[in-house]
Amino acid sequence: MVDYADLKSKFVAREVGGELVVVPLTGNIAHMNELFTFNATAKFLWEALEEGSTEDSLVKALHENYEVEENVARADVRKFLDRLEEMAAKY
Amino acid sequence: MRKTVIRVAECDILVQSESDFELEEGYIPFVAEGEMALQPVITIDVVPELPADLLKGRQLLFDAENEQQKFYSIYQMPEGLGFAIYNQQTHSDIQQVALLNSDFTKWTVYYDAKTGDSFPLKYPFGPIMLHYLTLKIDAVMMHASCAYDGRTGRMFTGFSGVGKSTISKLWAQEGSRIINDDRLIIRRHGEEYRVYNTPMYYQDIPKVAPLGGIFLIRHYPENELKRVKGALAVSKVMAYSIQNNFDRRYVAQRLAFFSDLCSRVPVYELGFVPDASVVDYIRSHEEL
Repeated sequence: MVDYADLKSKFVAREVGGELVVVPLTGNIAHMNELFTFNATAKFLWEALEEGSTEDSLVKALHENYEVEENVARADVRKFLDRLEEMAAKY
Repeated sequence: MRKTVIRVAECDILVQSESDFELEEGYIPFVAEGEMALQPVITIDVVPELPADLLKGRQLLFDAENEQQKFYSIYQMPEGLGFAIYNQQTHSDIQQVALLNSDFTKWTVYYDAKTGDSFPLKYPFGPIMLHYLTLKIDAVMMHASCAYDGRTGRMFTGFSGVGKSTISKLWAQEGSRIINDDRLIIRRHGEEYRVYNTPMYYQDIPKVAPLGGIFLIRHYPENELKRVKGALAVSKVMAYSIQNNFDRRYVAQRLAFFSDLCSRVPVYELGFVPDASVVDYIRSHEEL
């Protein structure tokens, strides 16, 4: 089972104009020219992601806070977690 | 005691040693002649010997390397950081060992004077020292060129080979002064940001310009300028800064710096044709 909070700990983030800039903490100088931005929905999920968070708990949080259908929330959460895994795999 | 003051980005760096030493050519124009800093931002103590075991057993924090070569390694010391700095010709021999205290104000640089080497600040120590200087003074170092037309400084940044030198030369042909075409320091002064050159491997006098625009450049079939803002601007500009991303505190500090910078200085994506037309194009399309 993937520890998403652990993946999150590989990055530092800052809000800029309602979006998020995400910077990898990396020991490899060659990978520094790669930063990420998250839109408002992904920013919400990033902030909701904490130790013990699961895909289901994030779907519930998004469903409740954004008043979106559960299947839409689940698709957004899956997309966010896939991106997070993809980013973390590089570092 | 021999003492020399180098002034970079309006910061005094005192280099001192009980023994004689030389500075590489690029530092010479930055020496503050006849002046002695009362309170230098940084003091560098130079020791003309290379101790064997100074970093032995210390925790390795970071290797600065790319696919071609290794530049330096950083170790956790009881008080501050330790650096093993590698010879850029042999790629593996240690040419300096340097210690930096925890508030980034005092370096001790050990180098092997017995081999006839009299340059304790030899590359790549200079950029390493400048990197920690920028953290100390809340500034940043960029891979970029900058041209100053007497009114405003325009910074051009992007990947290697994208045309940073080319576009700054085009501005120089139109009367602008090139601050530098490779490495710059950006520092905030009151409500404005200023751009400074740094000591390079060649001689160039210290220069400064107010920063009026940041251009993320690429070659393109026609000149095209597009303003970028917010998170996208911050992520794109920060990507071309010179930084060590291993420490969460420094990354957060840099993010705060770039957030403020990009809220005050316009950032553009610029596709350009490498001829003089781009100068007039920028002048007529930028927001000043």
